[in-house]
Formats: sequence, C-alpha cells, structure tokens
Amino acid sequence: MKSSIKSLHLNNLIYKIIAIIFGYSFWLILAQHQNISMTIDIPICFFELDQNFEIQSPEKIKVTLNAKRSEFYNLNVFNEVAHINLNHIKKTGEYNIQLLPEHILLHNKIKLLNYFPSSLNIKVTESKKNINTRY
Amino acid sequence: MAQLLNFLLIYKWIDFLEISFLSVTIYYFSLWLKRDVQKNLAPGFFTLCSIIILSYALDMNNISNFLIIFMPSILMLFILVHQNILQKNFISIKNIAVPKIKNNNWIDLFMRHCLNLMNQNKQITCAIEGRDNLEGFLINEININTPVNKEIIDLIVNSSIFKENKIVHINYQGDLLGVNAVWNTNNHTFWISEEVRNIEIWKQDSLLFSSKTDVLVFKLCPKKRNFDIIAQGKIMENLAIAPAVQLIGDFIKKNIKDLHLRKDINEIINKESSPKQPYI
Repeated sequence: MKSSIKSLHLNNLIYKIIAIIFGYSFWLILAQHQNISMTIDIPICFFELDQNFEIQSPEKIKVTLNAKRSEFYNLNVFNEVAHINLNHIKKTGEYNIQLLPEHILLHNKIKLLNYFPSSLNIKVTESKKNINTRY
Repeated sequence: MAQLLNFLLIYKWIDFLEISFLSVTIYYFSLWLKRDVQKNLAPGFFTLCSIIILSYALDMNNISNFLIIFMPSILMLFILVHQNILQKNFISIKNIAVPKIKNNNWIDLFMRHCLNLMNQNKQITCAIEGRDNLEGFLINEININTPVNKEIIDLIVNSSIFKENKIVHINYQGDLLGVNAVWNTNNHTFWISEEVRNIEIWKQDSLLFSSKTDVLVFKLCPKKRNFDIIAQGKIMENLAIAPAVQLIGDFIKKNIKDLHLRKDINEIINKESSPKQPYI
C-alpha cells in the first residue's frame, strides 16, 4: 500500500514539478494585477497621551482593504497601524473615540473598504509609576 | 511559512485552489502530449510556457502579449500535431483490457512452428494484434480463438481450408483468433502515397493498419528463407531469421509491458542478438 502511494507520487515526478512551477507562474502572471480585498488585523497606536496617564483599550482593529495583489506585498500592508491622537485627554475616565479613515494611514494605491469596530471604548487611568513617586 | 506565502503573493486558500487547477491542467496536458512518442510534443510545450514566462518576467511586453493572445491557437496547433494519436484512437476506439499473460513463451513456440512450415515450403502471413483491437479491420474467415499450440497449428496448416495468401490472426497474448483473415479495406487508395502503390497489396494494407494501430504483420518466404515485417507504418524486408524472430519477440514483450508501444522500432532492429533457442 505504502509502496503504491510512493510510486504514485514518484511517477512522472519531473512533469509534476514542472507543472507546479508553470501553474504557479501562469497564476502569478494572471493574478498579480487583479484587485483583491482582504481583511486583516492591524494594531492601534495611541500617541501624544499625557505621561501621567495609562490607557486600557482593544489592541487591534479589523480593516478590509482593496488593492492589486502585488501592492499588498510591495507596500507592506501587513505592517500598517491605526494612529490615534489622544492629546485632548486631560483627565482620567472612560472615553469613546470614533475611528476615522484618517486614523489609518494608507498608500493612495490601497483603498480602505471597511473597518471594525467603528469606535473604541478606552479607559484612561493614572499612571502607576506616577502614583509610586507621589507616595 | 506565513512570510513565504506572503512573498509568493498567496493570501487565501482559494489561491491554492487556482494554482492547483492550473498545475493539474498543465500536468495532464503535458502527459497527453508525451503519449505521442512519434513526435514528443511535451518539451515543445514546456519551451513555449518558459518563453511566455520569461518574456513576461523580462518585460518583453510585445512578445508576452503576442504569446498570451495566441496561446489558444498555439495549443490548438499542439492538439492538431498530436492528431496522429487521435486519429489512431478514432480508428480503433477499443483497447483490449489488460489481461493476465497466459504463456510468455508462446511466441518462441509459434515461431518454431512457422520455421518448420517454412521448411515444408509453406508460406505464412501472420498479423499479431497488440493492444489496439482489430475487430472490424481484420476479418477472419474462420474464427478460432484458442491458445497457440503445435497441434492446432499443424491441424490448420495441413488442412485444405488453409489459404497461404491470407492472414493468420494472433493476439499478443498468444491466442490464435482466426485464419484466412483479410484486411477490411474500404477504398483507402487515397490514403496511399504513389511509392506505396507499387508494392504488394498485403504490404499496402498492412502499412496502412500498422501506421494507425499497433499491429505487427510478418510474412515468411520459404524461397528466400527470410522475413518481411511491417510494424508502425514501416516495412522491414528480407530480414534474416534470427533478427526477425528477435524483433517479433521484442515486439510482443514490449507490448505486454507498455500501454502504448510507439518506441523506435529501429532500436530493436539494430540489436543483433541471436535467439536463445535454435528454431530449426
């Protein structure tokens, strides 16, 4: 049984390898200029938060992007980050921040189709380091 | 792994499905092309694919666009060039199912009897059917369908019903299918080239059917004490006994081994090896 499976795999092995190489190459020629949509998780980066505060929030959001297949690789889409400016937060408490397309900086060749969630609930607390230094 | 897939621009499982579909299509098409051993088209097909991919990779846009646009026509050309196989299958649609070989040495036995008959100044023409079924193309006056053996050959050849100018029909498994067989030739003169028209009728018919099926036809000439063999659309005349017997033996063995015997028969002819046993 094992030997028959082995011989099945080894029969015309060169033809199989060549077919896979050509199959992939033709697929790449046809597919790399096609527009595709993909949903990926990207991390959220908060900036300009007062040093005395700490925040608790979701770490990632789901975004659906549309671009040519080749652009996804060339423009390194998988390393995108959502940037949210928190300079307006001056005191502790719970905030609801509306996510906007501007928060996700994308190359103009890539379209943002959708993102989830559309708003973030964040909790701002005083920094523990700060509390320790006071006492 | 994820990085490799990312590098290969494969992002979804459906991409694997598409690549598999293309690969399987190319694989089976190239295997089909490979089956035409008279003209091995598979390397040509691979070269064409390589040129398309290279021209695309090297940004030779005109060449790559030209080749991609005309790809269906080029594939049709490959299929048309391969038509020899198609034509053969069209003529002889049925292939004989793979059987158990009853007796590997039947050909030695049969050839020994043939040579005995030659010593008795009897002429014999024999068609050995390969995997392509000759039913409808070779019409047996008397159907026998029994394994070849000395007694039956002696009985038939010495009887008054046996006609020396007709064909003894045998298959490669060693079954004597019939005697006094004739080719069913329905006005095929337009198939035949001028030079072939001048040769004997049995050779003309045998050439036609051997070029389209895997039948081997041979004739023993008691006067010249040699063989005329026709296979794969080729005539080998005045072959001495030893190489002829070797050639027929190799033909049978090859037919047993390979589904599609279309290998260069000249290789077999050129082998000058003596038979294992004396035939006379």
